[in-house]
Amino acid sequence: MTIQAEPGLVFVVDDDAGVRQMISRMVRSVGLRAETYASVQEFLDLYDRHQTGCLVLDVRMPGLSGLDLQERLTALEAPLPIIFITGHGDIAMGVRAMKRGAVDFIEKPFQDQVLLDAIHAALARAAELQSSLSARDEARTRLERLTPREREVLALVVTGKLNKQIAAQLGIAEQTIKMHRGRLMRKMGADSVPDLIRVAQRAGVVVELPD
Amino acid sequence: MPDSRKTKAELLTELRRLRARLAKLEPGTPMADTAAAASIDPQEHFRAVADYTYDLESWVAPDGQLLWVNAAVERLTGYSVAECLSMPEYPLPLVHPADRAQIVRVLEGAIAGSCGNDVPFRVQRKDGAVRWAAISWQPIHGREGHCLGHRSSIRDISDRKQAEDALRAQRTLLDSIIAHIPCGVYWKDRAGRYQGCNAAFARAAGVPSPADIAGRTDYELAWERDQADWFRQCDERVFATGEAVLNIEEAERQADGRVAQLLTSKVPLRDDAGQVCGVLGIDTDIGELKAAEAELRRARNELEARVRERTAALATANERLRLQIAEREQVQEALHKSQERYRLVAELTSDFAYAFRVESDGSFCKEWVTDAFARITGYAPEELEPVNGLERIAHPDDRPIVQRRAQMLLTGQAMTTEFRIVIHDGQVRWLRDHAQPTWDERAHCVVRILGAAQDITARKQAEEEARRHQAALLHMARLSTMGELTAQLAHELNQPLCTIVGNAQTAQRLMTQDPPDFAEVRVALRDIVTYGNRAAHVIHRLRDSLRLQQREPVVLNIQRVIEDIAEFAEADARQHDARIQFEISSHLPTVRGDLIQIQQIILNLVHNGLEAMMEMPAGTRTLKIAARPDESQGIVVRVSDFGPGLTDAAAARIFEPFFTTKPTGLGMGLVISRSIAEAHGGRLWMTRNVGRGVTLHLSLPSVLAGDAP
Repeated sequence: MTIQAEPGLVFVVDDDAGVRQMISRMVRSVGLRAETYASVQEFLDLYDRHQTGCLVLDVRMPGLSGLDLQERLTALEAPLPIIFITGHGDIAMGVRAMKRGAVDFIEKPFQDQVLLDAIHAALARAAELQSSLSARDEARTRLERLTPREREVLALVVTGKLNKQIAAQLGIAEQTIKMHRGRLMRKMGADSVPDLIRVAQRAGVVVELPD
Repeated sequence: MPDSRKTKAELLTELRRLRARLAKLEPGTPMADTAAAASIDPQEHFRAVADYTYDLESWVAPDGQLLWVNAAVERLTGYSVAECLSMPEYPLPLVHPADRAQIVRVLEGAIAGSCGNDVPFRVQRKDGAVRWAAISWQPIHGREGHCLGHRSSIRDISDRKQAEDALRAQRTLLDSIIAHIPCGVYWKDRAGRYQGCNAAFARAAGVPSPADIAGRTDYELAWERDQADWFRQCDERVFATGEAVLNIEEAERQADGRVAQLLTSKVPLRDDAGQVCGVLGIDTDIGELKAAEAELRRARNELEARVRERTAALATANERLRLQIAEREQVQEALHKSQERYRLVAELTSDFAYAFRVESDGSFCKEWVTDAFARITGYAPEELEPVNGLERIAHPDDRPIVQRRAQMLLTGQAMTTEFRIVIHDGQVRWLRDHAQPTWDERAHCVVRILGAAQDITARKQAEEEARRHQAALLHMARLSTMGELTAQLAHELNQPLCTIVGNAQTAQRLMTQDPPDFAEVRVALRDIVTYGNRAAHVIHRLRDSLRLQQREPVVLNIQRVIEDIAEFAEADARQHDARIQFEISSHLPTVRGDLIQIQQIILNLVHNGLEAMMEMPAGTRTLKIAARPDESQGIVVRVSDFGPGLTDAAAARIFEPFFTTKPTGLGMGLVISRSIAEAHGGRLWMTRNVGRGVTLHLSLPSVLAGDAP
């Protein structure tokens, strides 16, 4: 994996043009990229769910609100941490937003450093999210390459069973199990059983360990 | 003697001769006149007397043959003289069969020479009727003493006989009465000797039978001497005065030892000459009568008491009835009036009435609808659809209301519903509909709907107007609460402030870069200016909306103004567990101003007062709103709280902007209120109460003062 040289991208969604442009300017002044949107709908129309970065979002806006957008992005599993800004200091709403995974909740007017710190934190989290998502995607791709028999064997290997036990359970020769096992380890890119378990989990396989 | 030797034939001849002469004596003959009377033959005279004698006279020969009978025979028996003379067995056919034997004996005796007097017998008349008669007879002798037969005289005694019978019957009746009368009856002569009495008296007097009393005096009877003296005394009085002594009440010890209560009357008895010859006494035992009388009196008293009671009860009932009737009449009168009113109302107002029959499927079938329907809807009554007509003309949005109304009516519940209809020309009108279902007990369902609907469009419009007004007021009332105003201000000012601060800080950062990005700094500074101006504009706009935005001032009745906000004020008070006391003088001068702004001031003062009392115990939180005329012909509204009051420092600053004693306050309420008051030519100030709390005074000039040059 190569480290991206491209600077972090900040999406700014606020119906107030002054605020929107000010934030964009502030973000750019520290060397980050900024994209501005006047409404939630406008953002949704143009956003590609694989784009990563962070979102600076006004809570109250005409039409869809900031909270609505948060809900949709969660559903899309978008790697896009959110920083809410509000002119109302609505604590209840802030609590709700934070519970749903917002990175920060900032009251207007704010000090530039407060917002910039929040943006940096959000971008770091975005990178983490991005890498875990790519790892998951890769694991899923690998899992999909397994044959049905290899999947059966995988499901039993991750529970810690020995080849002999698996052979007895599936009613086939231990020698054949050995062959399947070697092949699936290779396909999954795993060197050891613990490694295999990690990859399988990342791909969404439910692993039930014996007591 | 030739006469004595006369044979029957000779006698008959003589008789014929006499008869012929008698015939000459018929009235109307010359011999009948008075002049000739003196010359009448004495023998003729006798014969005339005999013939015209009232009694029946007859002469029977010694052999029993009837020789002569006078004309009276026809009156008595109905048989003529001739009939009798030719009758072979005279007089037996004239005699009642029961008495014939007796008469035969009489005749045989008479022929034998006997005589007799007044022997009664019954005559059987020719017409069958029976009469009583009495016969007397005697032999007739000639001058020489030879027997010429006998004569008989028969007298009609029917009347006498009847009188005797009647007398006997009366006597029997009287005897019976005397015998059975429940009184003692007795009579005495002047000497006091009893002549007779009835059985009742005999018993009382102690003699075996009435017959045994005759001749005795009172001293020889059962009673004591003094009692006998008393009886005698009474008798003497009757004799002395010749008058009856009536109804003497006396106690008498009778033969059986019983003392009887008697009511005695004594009446004088007189002889034919009118002299008092005795006394008749009647004793009535009134012991039982007395008891009965007492009983009767008691019963009567009881009855009277009952009658009085019943009368009283009846009187009460009557009165009640009368009242009920009066009431009923009033009700009927009222009913009548109300019917009349209804009729008038139905004719004069825009209400229309209707009746719908409920079909088995629950639909409403039009029976009739009044003409007012046309006035309201523009449809003729006939144009209303026969089935569910009202629902069909209902506004589409209100059809669910009309359907629900129908469902409720079908459960038997009367309904008042307001809904819109679309009338003939497409306009929308509001109806207020009162519908009354008629429940059929037997069918167990609603069979008919009667109702009336009223066009309330005008009212609805007025209500809508009022609602709009209220909404505006409510909005201002909300605005006037500091928290809301803060939010409003914060939101309005936050955006430009945020932009300004952010741009300024960004510009600073840009300046520190090497090289500084002056182009970007310039844009940032431009935005700072732009948004600084925008913030200023927000402040201006807010001020405008609160103070400078002048609506057309109107004449205000401050009493009405306060009444209009009372609901809001009381709602606010409830939230603060406080109560509001209103003291509004009547006859306040009117003022000119902006209704909503004045209301806003008062609501603001109310809210402040309620907030100020929050640290007081809930039961003591009373806010007083008073309005009265002031000395300069204007009015002053005072809002007094009973909170802890204000420190000197706080009191000095309450009209300063952003000064507040409340945790959530912005410190603008009184500032804005004062500026509104001043814009109206009035004043707003504060005083401390004598006891607790403070009073805010709002004075407004009257219309007259404001209009003065």
